[in-house]
Amino acid sequence: MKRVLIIDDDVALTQVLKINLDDTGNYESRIVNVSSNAIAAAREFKPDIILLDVVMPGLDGGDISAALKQDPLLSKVPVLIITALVSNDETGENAVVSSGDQVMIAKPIRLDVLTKAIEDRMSGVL
Amino acid sequence: MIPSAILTDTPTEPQKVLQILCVEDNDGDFLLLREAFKESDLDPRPVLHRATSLAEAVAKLLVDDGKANFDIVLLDLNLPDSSGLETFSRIREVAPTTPVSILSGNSDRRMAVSLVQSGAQDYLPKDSLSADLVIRSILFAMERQRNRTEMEEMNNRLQKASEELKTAQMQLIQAEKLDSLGRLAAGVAHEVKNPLATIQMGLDYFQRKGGLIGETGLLIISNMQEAVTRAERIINGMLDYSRDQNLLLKESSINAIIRNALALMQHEITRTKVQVIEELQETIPSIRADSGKLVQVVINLVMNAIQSMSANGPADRSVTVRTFWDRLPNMERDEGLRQWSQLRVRDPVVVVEILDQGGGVSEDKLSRLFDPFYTTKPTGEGTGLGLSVARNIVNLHHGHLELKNVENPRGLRVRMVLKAWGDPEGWLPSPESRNLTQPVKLKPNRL
Ligand SMILES: Nc1ncnc2c1ncn2[C@@H]1O[C@H](COP(=O)(O)OP(=O)(O)OP(=O)(O)O)[C@@H](O)[C@H]1O
Ligand SMILES: [Mg+2]
Repeated sequence: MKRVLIIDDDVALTQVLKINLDDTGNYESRIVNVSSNAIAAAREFKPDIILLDVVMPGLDGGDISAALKQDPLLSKVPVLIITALVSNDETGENAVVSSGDQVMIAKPIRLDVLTKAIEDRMSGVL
Repeated sequence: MIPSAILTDTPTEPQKVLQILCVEDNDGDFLLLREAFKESDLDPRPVLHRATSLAEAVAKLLVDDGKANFDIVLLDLNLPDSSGLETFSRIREVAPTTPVSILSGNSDRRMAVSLVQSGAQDYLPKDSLSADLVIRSILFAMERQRNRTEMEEMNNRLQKASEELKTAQMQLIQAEKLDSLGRLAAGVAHEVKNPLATIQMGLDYFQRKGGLIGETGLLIISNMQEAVTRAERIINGMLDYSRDQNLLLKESSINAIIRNALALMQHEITRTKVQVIEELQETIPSIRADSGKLVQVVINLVMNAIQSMSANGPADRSVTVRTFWDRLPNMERDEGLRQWSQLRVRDPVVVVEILDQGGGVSEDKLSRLFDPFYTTKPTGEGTGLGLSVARNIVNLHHGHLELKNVENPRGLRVRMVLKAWGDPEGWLPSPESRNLTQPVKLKPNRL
C-alpha cells in the first residue's frame, strides 16, 4: 500500500479522489484541505507521493513545493501537481506536462490516467 | 437692495408686467398684500391675481397649454380645500418651474422654512408684510428660480454627456473584450475545471461499480461522462481562442497535416455518413508551420463542413478537401489577399480548399462567421469559436483564410493560403493548370 497525500483546497474533489484511490486497494490516502497544515501533515503521514494543487488560498502549490524541498524529511518525496491551469490537450500522450523537475497533470483527471501517473512518478519514469 | 435696473423709472422694455398669483383665502391677508403692491413703483408692473382655494389655483395655473402663465405664486399653505405640505406639493406638480413664495402665519412658520429647503423659493411672514419685503422677496424668488432652472438644464446636459460617455465606454469595452477575454477565459476555465474534476472522479467511481448500478445506471453514467467531456472541450476551445499562441514552426507537409486531421475525425466521418473526397496534389512544396495547430484548423473546418450538411440526404453529403500550389499573382482578383503583406508577387503558395454541400451562408452573415461566439448551432453543440480559433492560427502563420459561397453544388468554400517553403521552381511541375482564379477540376484522390 502506497501512501498518497492529497493537498488541495477543494473539499469535494479531495473526498471523491480519496475514495477512488483507496478503493483501488493499492493506496492509502490522506487529505489536507488547508494548505498551511500541509507540511506538518506530510511529516506525520510520511507519504510515498504527494498530489499537490496549485491555486489555493494562503500558501499555494508553489509555496508548498518550495517548503517540501527545504524539508530534510520530505525533500525526496515525489510530487505530482494536479492543476486546472493546464489543459488535457496540452498534456499530450502521457497526460502530463513537465517543466523543469515539476510534473503536472490537468484537471479534470480520469482515475486511470491519474493512477498511471502516480505509478510512473513514484518509479521515476516521470 | 432692489436691483436698480428694475426700479428705474423709464422702462426700456415695452409693457412687461409681472404676473403674480396670490393663493390666499383670507380676505384681510389678501388686501394687505394688495396695498403693499399699490404703494410700490415696481417695474415691471405687478399684476395681482387671486385664488381662494387650491382647486382654483390649480385651475389658474393650468390654463394656457402648460406654459408658465404666472411669474410667481404667493402661497398660503392653509386653504379651505388643502393644507400644509400637500398644498405646496400640488402647486409644484402643476407648475414645476414657477417660483413659489410661501405666505406663512406664525403657526406654520416652521413648515414654511422646511418647504424653502425642499424647493419653495422663499417665505413671507404675514404678520410683518411690507411692500419692500414682498417685492424684494418676489425678485429674489424669481432670480433663484431662474438659477434653479439653469442648474437643471445644466444638469440635464451633464446627464446627457454622461450617457454619451457611457455609450463610448461600452464601445471601448466591446473593443477590449477580446483582449480581456484571455484573462477572463483563464479565470473561468480554472473555476469550472475544478468542479468538473470532482464530477469526473465521481463518474470513475461509479463506472467501476458498474455491476452494482445496473444497465440504466451505466447509461446515465455514460451520458454524464459525455457531458463532462463536452464541457471540458468548450473550456479548452475558449482557452485556445484566447491564449496568445506560440507556434512550433517546422518544415511540414500540408497533405500529411490533412490526412492526420481526417484520421482523427474518422469516427465523426463514419458516424455522419459523410463522404470525404481527397484531392491532394502530391507534388506540392512543403510549408513552415506548426503542424499540430494546423491539424486543429483543418479539423475545425471539416467539422463545420460536415455539420452544414446534417440535413442533407446521403447522396449529397460529401466534403472535398483539396490541396495545390500556385503563385500569388494568379490570385490578385481575390479580395482580402491584398492586405496580405507577408507575400510578394510570384511567391509560391500552398492552398487548401474545403468544399461542402451545405448550402453556404447568406452573404450578409459571411463576415460574422469569424466572430468569436458566433454560432447558429444549438446550445451545447457549438461554441462559435471554431472559425475564430482557425483564423487566429492561420494569421499566426502569416497565412490567409477566406470564405466564399459556391454553386454546383451549392455550399461554402473555405480556402487557406500559406506561404510555401522555398521555391519549388525547377523541381516541381509548374502550377499553371490549377490557376487559383479558375475553377479547378481534378480527378478524385489519386492516392
Ligand atoms: N461550412 C459551413 N457552411 C455553412 N455554415 C457554416 C460553415 N462553417 C461555419 N458556418 C457557420 O458559422 C458559424 C460559426 O462557425 P464556428 O466554427 O466558428 O463555430 P461553430 O461551428 O458554431 O461552433 P464550434 O466550432 O465551436 O463547434 C456556425 O455556427 C455556422 O452557422
Ligand atoms: Mg465549428
